[in-house]
Amino acid sequence: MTKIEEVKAKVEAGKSKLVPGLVQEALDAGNNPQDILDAMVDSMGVVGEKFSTGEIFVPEMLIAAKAMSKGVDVLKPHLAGDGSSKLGTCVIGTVAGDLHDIGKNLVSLMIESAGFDMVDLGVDVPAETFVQAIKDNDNVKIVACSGLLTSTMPALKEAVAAIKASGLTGFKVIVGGAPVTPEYAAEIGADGFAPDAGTAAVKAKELVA
Amino acid sequence: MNKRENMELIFQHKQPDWIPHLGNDTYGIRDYVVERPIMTTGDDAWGCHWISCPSSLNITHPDGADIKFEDLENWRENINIPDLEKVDFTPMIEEAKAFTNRDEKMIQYVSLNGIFERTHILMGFENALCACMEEPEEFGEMLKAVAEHKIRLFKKVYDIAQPDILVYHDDMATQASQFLNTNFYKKYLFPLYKQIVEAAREMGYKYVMQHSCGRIEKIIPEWLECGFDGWDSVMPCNDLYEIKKEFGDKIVFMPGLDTQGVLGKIGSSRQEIEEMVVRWMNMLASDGTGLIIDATLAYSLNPANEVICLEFIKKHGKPFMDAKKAGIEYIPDLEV
Ligand code: B12
Repeated sequence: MTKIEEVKAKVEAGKSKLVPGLVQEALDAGNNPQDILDAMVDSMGVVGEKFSTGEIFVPEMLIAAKAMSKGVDVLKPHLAGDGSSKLGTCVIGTVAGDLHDIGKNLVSLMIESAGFDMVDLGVDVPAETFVQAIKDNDNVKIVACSGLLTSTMPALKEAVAAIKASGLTGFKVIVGGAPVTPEYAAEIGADGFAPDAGTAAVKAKELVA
Repeated sequence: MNKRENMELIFQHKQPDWIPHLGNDTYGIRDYVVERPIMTTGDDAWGCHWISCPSSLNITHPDGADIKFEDLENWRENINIPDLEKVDFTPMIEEAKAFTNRDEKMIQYVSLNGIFERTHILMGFENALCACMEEPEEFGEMLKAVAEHKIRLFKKVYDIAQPDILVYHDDMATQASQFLNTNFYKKYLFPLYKQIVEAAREMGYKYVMQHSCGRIEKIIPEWLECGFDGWDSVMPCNDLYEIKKEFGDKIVFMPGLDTQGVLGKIGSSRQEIEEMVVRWMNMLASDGTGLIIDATLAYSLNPANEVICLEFIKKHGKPFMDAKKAGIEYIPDLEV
């Protein structure tokens, strides 16, 4: 197994204690930092897919993302450019009145592992705050809104409406959360929907491609 | 037949006279004294902070900023398991005084925050889930300590109110799947659940149910071995027809009904709600047995819809059973 393959396997297995050392070894062995990063992005893709198909569960996904982020810390100083990602920035938050954030955090981890810079607005985020964040941050390509309660689905609608009405452009809006269906997403004018975190990352990439 | 006798038939998996509603057909006691302030911001007996959320009918949720420890290195020093001798149970004792007609009505005790839920209140959800994977043995030790507390608490409440039914809350799943892999449940959680169920029965609780939201269908066979009599919440992200067919003789179902659909939606019509209730009765009491309805505001967050739902159950629970006993399909006159 090459060092890069080892990094890949350990990210997938969520070995956050081992990954930083392995990334360093891969660098020392002369591997291109971008290749190491791409390998980790690939393994998170595999993790996302296994999660979507029900082969693994939330914790396995969390520890894999944690392992990757530890690896990226080692890699960052070696990456070319200003360290900002090539896919752009993703603004994410749970809509007003809703405090569920586990799903939102997982979506954030997966979109980040796919190569976006994340701006996480947290929970209970009013529509205007999403709009402001799009203005305040550079290169926003995706805005992701999460809602877990039937009672906050209207807030999801308001958030999408406010973002669309702001006149700002250059990004796509995706929505999701337990009660959200593709039909509802379309009805409220979102550009995309995904049923889970792995698929959300795939969708985000697809929308900026 | 009184409400107690009717409920008894359900737990014996025999046909009752009517389909009951938990809140309506039993006295209820909750443990806000120890596990969770209800409808108001404050601390529980563990010292964990809860915040009441005005946009969700003031229901409380754990304060994510108040985490007692992030990993398991020093959990023993930081956990602060409540000393029940020092807790003031007066409000519960007072509440129990109102249960005057025990011969006619059972008492149910809804115990919030099971052993797994407590770990994520203490550590934060993601930290707890990572700890399960990274240090399962140590996590198991912590679960054991919480389970011992739960058993002491159940004894205390039994001494105060002598409930018939214990509804033990411990969510096991998300909309899509169980939180943890089946092996983790089998190795670390279910043995403790079994211990809790057995201890509760020994104290005098006659029936022990577990509340779990989410999609638990894949772990039902293993979960049943813990000895539970029933399942509360029963969300439709599970294949409920199949579960009724396969485990209907072992599980008493206590659904919150279609919380994320008709019941939770703003503007559902009376007819839509009534049709939904009949559909659920036919699905989970297809043979007339094993159904208690637990539709509550805490799940649907929609007071107007809940009122319609409750009225309907009160009125149609008996005719539904009459039709079942006569072997005919129940077709109610739906109000438009
Ligand atoms: C854990 C949980 C809680 C925790 C939340 C902890 C936290 N920090 O988030 C606590 C205890 C605090 C809580 C509180 C409440 N909850 Co709650 N909760 C749940 C539960 C059991 C699991 C949710 C979860 O975390 N899932 C895990 C993640 C990984 O899954 P997920 O959120 O679905 O996210 C995935 C996808 O949906 C998608 N996704 C999510 N967001 C996004 C965004 C985008 C852009 C995309 C593309 C995809 C996407 O990807 C994610 C990862 O795969 C659900 C049950 C259920 N069936 O969902 C109830 C549930 C959501 N809660 C419910 C309720 C009613 C409440 C409360 C009002 C009362 C209560 N029961 O305590 C309060 C409300 C507080 C508030 N104002 O928000 C109800 C809602 C019913 C309804 N009417 O809609 C549910 C459905 C339970 C039920 N029995 O009906 N809850």
